[in-house]
Amino acid sequence: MYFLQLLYQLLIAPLELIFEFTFGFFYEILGDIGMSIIPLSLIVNFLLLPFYRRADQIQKEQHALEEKLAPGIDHLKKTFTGDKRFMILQTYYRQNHYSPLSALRSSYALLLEVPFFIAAYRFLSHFEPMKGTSFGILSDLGSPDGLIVIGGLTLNALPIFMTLVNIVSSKLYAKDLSKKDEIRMYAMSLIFLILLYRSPSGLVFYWTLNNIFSLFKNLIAASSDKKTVTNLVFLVMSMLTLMYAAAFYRGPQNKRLYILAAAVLLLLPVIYSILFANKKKDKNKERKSKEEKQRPYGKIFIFSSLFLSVLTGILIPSAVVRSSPVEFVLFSDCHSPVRYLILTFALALGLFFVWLGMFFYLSTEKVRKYFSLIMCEFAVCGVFNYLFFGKGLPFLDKSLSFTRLFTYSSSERTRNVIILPILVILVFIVWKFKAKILPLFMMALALGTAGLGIRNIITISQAMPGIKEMVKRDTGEKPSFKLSKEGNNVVVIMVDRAISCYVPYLFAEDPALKTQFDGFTWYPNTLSFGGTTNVGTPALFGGYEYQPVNVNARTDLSLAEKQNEALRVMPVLFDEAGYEVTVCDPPYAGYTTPPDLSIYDDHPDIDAYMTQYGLFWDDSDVIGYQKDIWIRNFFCYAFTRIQPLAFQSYFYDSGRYHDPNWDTSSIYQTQYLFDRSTAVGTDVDFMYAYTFLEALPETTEISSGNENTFMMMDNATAHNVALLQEPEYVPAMNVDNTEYDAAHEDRFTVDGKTIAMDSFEQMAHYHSNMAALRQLGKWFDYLREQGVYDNTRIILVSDHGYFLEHMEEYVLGHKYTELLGQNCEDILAYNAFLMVKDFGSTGFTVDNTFMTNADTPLLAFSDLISDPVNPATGNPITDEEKYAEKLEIFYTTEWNPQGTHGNTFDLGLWFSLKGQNIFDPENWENEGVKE
Amino acid sequence: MMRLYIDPGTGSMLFAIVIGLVGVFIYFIKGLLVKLRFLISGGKKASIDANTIPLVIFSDDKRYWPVFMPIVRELDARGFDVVYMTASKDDPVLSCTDFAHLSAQFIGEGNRAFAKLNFLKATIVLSTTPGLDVYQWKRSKYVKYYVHTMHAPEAGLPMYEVFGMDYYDAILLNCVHQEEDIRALEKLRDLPAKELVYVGIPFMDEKLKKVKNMDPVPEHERTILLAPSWGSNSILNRFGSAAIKSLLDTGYHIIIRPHPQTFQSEAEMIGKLMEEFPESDQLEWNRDTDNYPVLARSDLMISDFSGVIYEFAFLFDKPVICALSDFDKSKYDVWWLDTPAWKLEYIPQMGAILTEENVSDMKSLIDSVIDDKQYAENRKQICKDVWLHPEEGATRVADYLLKKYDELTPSEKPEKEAEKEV
Repeated sequence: MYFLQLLYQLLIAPLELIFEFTFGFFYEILGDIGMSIIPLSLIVNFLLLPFYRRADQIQKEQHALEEKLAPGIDHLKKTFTGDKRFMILQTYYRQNHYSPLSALRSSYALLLEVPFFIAAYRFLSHFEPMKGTSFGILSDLGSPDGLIVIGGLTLNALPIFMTLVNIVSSKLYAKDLSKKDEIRMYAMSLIFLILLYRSPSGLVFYWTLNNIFSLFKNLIAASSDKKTVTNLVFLVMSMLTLMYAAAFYRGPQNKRLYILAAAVLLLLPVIYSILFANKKKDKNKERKSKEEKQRPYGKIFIFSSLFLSVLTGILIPSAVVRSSPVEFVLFSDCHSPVRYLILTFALALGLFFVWLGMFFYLSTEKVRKYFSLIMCEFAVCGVFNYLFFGKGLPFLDKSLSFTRLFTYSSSERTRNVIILPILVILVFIVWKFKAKILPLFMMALALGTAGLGIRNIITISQAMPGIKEMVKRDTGEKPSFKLSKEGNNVVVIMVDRAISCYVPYLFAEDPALKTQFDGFTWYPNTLSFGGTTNVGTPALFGGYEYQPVNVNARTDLSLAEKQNEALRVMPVLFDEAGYEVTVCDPPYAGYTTPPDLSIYDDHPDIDAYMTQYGLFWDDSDVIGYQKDIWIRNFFCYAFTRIQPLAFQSYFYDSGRYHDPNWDTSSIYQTQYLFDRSTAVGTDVDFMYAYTFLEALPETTEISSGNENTFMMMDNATAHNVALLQEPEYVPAMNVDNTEYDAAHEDRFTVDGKTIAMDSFEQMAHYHSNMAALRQLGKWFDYLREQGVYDNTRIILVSDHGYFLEHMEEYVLGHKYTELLGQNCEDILAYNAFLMVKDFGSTGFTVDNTFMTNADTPLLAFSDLISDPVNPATGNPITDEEKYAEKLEIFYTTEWNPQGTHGNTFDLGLWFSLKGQNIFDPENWENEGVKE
Repeated sequence: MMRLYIDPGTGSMLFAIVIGLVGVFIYFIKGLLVKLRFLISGGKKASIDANTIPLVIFSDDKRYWPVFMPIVRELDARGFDVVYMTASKDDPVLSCTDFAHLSAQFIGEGNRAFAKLNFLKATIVLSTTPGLDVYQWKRSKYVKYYVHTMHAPEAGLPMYEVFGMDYYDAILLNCVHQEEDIRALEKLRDLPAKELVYVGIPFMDEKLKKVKNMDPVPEHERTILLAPSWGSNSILNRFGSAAIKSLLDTGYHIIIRPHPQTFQSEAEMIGKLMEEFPESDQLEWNRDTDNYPVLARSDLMISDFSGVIYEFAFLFDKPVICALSDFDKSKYDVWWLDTPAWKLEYIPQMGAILTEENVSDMKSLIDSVIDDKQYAENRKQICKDVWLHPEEGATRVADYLLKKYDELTPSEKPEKEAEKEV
């Protein structure tokens, strides 16, 4: 099976990609599925012309040979019988370099067309968006046309029209053929009529266009003045395009220009043939071409395409996987992600080496020459684009779409636009004057890239045993959170990246929250010591002993060990105090994602769960979908990254990479974002986190006893953000908030203070925070119903805020944005969300006391565990350091714990805060980058 | 032949491919069946001998021993080892003890023999079997050189079945026309030029020696030998008793020597004739193993079998009458050429042709031929053309083979010789 899949990736998948990207390109301009099929058919047919010409040529040669041999064959067949006849004929064939096997040789060019056929058929017969779409007189491109209705009889007109075109076309092609062959052709037309009669009219339309293309091709071939007829055909095509642009096109103006440009392009062959019609070949030129023949164009092509295959098929994808291998492992179908990398390499090799190679092989000497130049340019610019640009790109999630909008800074774009032409000229000069070194250069690049890729693969493979162990540990057991009616319940929920400054706006928009959050105190003036989870969480769970300066001071222990210590502080102390302890998804436990729960193994009473990947892992839809994405889009991502920056967003296509069949039936996928108000689909990671909150009432087990309980968990609803449907703020397949947003723009202004909500990113964070609070609110309602709300202390805390620049006054500057790839000088990124509800408290209060998220352990222990001591270090847990004159805050670019083995937080930007008010920019000091 | 509409965009190429594939499949199956039958009849891959044999003579039938014997004798005399492989269990060579340098072996019949030959390790293979690399006998990649020798004086190449010679490396010739024909075929079939060596006909030399050593034939009355072949076109079948009656009417002494096969395949017909024309003073039915005494005392031969006609004309220089039936060239190489089939062209020049018209008057026919000077002259000339280098055949073949062997194995030359060359 895997072998077949590999073969498919190598031969068919590249063509499907070409179809999909071509179609996507035209669809974007024309905005009409039916219209987009026309240029698709044209381009596919033009691509196939060299194959057709070769096949036709071979067939003619073969036919001539067969005709020449016919008398001999007839004679031998008449004269001899049995095995002798066979052997004598075999010899006769051999002597004439003919073999019935060469029927295969003659059809190799035809065989090459089969993948095109399969790819086109697959593309159009499974093309979901075609369903229900009308085009001209065709009411539904997804079903047979049914245009002719006679009495009660419905007939499909398009297949009949197609057959007529086919017959005329065959007639032209077959004008010098025998009656028998002609009849055979008509029979074939009829077979196609039967085959396609009930097919979707979109597919038949495509096929009809192919037949019309053939008709013109045969018309040109049959005409005595081929040039005039060819010019005429192009002229007519150009006129039709012009007419369409002028009279029928209904889309935006700027795209009309593209269509006009296409009309002009179609005129180029005509102009060329008129201008250069009678130019005789210069003899000097011919001599020159002989010299050129010695240049290694073939080798340049081969090594360039090999290099591109390795770059896009191995290096770039493996670098993505390497950053966090576990994300690319399906827990219920556990395989090394290397298998997807191999399939990706097959796809890249199929595109660059097999198919482009095929075109290269079928080209004339002259075309080959420029072909080699283009490949070389593409390879050099490609590796350049990948290596030297994109440092500041957002995180790539496991669906290979960026967690934020995919854009480059304008300075990067400008640099790219300036550098690329210089590079192109340099390569051209080398190609022109020193072509001989190019194959070697390309080979060296290919080998070097392969080496790096293999290094990545080795790292990934080394991570696999650990991941497999983790998978084994994950029993799929659903968590059960124990709360008791009579005892004390303490709940600490880390809401990853929850944004504190939203609270007034969220509560204003949804007043019900105030009731649901009855008893809570919100601390707006709360600091986080880090802008990322790895820096923010140690102090959150372990107290001040784990603020970054303290972590860095203990150089004898690894970051992972210190993280584990911090994560154990509360569960262990509560456990030792006799509480029933439940822990869920302790972030970065063991410095892995998903977390390594074995850090609690020495306290068997602690119930630890992993739900980071949702409660839905046995959903085969998710698995199939995820696999399909990896198999297809690793390459697409890589291909995107080697493009000039200006084209990347076209290839990226909001994370869809022009996959026409992204699954609209499953909610577990990637969300495709169009702007801050519209999106399609839901993000799988958001869904995992969100549905977990939704399910809290079901997973809460309430006992009527008086035992004390402690529950600590992490949830990523506010982290894995998605655009949701307003005003309910729920996930939806088609999110369209245009009207609601327009009507409720004022909701982002409360008490005269406005938060900017211009980008999709800001909006998605707002939405996801709202969704998280609403689901928590519902859970609180449930706890109230069950009578356990009052005897439960609840702490909602975030590890950090985010760099959203919601309020300009809190942005300290942009000095480090370029260097660190993040606008990390936004105070709100270090503003932790903190809400605390104590036993029996009521009302919703706002407290501007200076807090930090390192206060969490003490808030949890308060009045329950006196004089707490860190079980790992033996140090008392206090908040003395909170009142130090200066607090040190750290932002790091090395946010991913995977593969981090150091002992200290290294590369990043340090700030200091004095005066215990985070909202006064004057209190902040930028300490600069320290290594 | 079929030509298909192969337009790619329309999908019709799929059918072209399917039809092509079906054709290929059938061809493949046929090939497989032929191979299977070859395997079943003993054509398994034979083990390869470790050592390369310098010279192998392969004979597919015991009747070719006389063809090779003079060559073997010559090589033996020169001390050159010969391995003789025969496909006849009762080949006389197997019991021949005359030659110290000859080692003969039976390698099985038919495909069993070919299987062995197909993996033979030898420097040179000499054979008279046509169809190398056409039928089951393939060229072994461990044999450097295949040399063909003729087994009948008139066996010019065009008279072999189609492709009979094509894959030999060298052909030993005896007739001026052979070269023209071979070259013509090479050109027609785009084959590499073969090495053509004029050597004569060793086995005819042998026969000539025998004829010369025969005791002189005593005076005898005019004797006519009727030596028909068998099959529907043979004289006895074509003319039957009319021919014999007409012969008896001549008053000459008549010897009838039917082809041995006649007594097996056409026993009834021959039985009737022998009953109708019993032996008498005038008529002999001859079935002697050695035909030379009979040939020697015959003054004219009537036959429908070209081989014996040539032998009789060349060895005994006596007139002949031939019953030429319409010859079907279809199976033979000559069909592909514009050149005449020499062995048939020559016959009317050497003697008269027996036909339905003249069969009733054999006397006039015989008399017109028997002393005809033109026929006698033609006979001599034709013999000259066809039989080059008479009485030198074996020597020339041996010379050639030894020279060739040296050429093919340069490294095995003695060191001294090599030094000399430097």
